[in-house]
Amino acid sequence: MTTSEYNQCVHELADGLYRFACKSIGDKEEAKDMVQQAFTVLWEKREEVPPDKGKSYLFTITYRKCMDVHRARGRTTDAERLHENFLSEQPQTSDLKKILQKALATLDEQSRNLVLLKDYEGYRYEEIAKVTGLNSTQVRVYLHRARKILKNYLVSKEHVI
Amino acid sequence: MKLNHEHIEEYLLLLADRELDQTTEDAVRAFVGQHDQYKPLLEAYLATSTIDTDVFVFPDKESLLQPETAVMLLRKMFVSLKMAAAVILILGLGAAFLLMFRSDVPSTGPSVAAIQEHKGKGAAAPLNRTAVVRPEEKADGNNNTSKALVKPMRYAHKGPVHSVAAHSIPVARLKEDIPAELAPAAVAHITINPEQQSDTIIPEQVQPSGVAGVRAALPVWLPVQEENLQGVQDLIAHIQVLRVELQAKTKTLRNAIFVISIGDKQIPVN
Repeated sequence: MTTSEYNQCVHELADGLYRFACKSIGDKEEAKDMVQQAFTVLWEKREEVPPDKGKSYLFTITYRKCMDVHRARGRTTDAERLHENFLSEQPQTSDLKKILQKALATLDEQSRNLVLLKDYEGYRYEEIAKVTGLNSTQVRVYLHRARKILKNYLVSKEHVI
Repeated sequence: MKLNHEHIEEYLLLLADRELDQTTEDAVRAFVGQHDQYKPLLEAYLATSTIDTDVFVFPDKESLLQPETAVMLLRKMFVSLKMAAAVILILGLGAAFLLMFRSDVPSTGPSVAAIQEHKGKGAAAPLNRTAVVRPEEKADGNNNTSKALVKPMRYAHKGPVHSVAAHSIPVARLKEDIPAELAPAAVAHITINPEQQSDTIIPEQVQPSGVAGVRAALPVWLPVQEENLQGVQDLIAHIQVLRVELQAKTKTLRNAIFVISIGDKQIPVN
């Protein structure tokens, strides 16, 4: 990967990577640091990474850092609180989106990241498997579980849609 | 694929994940259309996969960019220039080699006499195409000189025109043997009056022959290159050889006695 190809990755992927990190960990500043670290690693390893693998390489790094952050945080309730605070800062969000984002906060880290990669970045099962290190069957099963949880949250009495 | 109540939910989840091809998706939607109890379930799963349209902009993106120095830009150009330079060098060397090779080749082909000798030997040995014909000078009483050309001039319109005695000599020797009907245009020397130097050739004084004749036939403005004239010289030599052979055969035919057989009778015909 040349310098110009690296710079092209920055222009194309920085915003999407930032969105993924923000929605995963719920903290903008930490998400910004995470994205900077991911691009720093890509720059150092640029000679080993082909240009067409830049996106999956960056998301793999960011996913692992998000999982590390979640493990470091420990309790899920803290993550939920962070997500709720994060959601409250988002302007002009529809009711469905707000409820959905709250539902996302109830998921565990891995399921949430799988849903973000699937619904927000548009990856297929095989691509998600490469980023997360799982196989495609595992990805499908975990995603389906997550979607059932989200569906149950949405159709529950408090959040009738 | 046959949908049933046992695994329809699995297909609904695959549809919400956008992992179904169009045909299968249409079949699942058709099944749900036929079984209304699954409509709310499909809507709920589709609601969980709402694509986020929120815009997230990474702050201070310029801090992530790496500078492309002039050296890096030059390196990019250098790679493409290197290839172009290699191609040009190869082509240039090839052209230079061709030019050198052509300039080293002797200007004349084999003479008619050499070709006749070659035929007499039965073409056992390859013809020496590098034989150089020696020039001759011929002077007449008018102090006009006709000089033989060792190398034809490059341009027809520059300087006086000299005769090509080198090629005219063999043909002149055979002139006596040539039947009148087959006599070629007289191979004449293009004489030069030193007092009269002209870029053009006076038609009534000239019956062009060989290279000079070819050059005279060309327009004045046309630059004639040496290698083109070299080919013409070779052609002229071959034509003269063929002419000699034709003359010999004509002579033979004249002396031949034909015998025509009609049935059992034989009638001689002279």
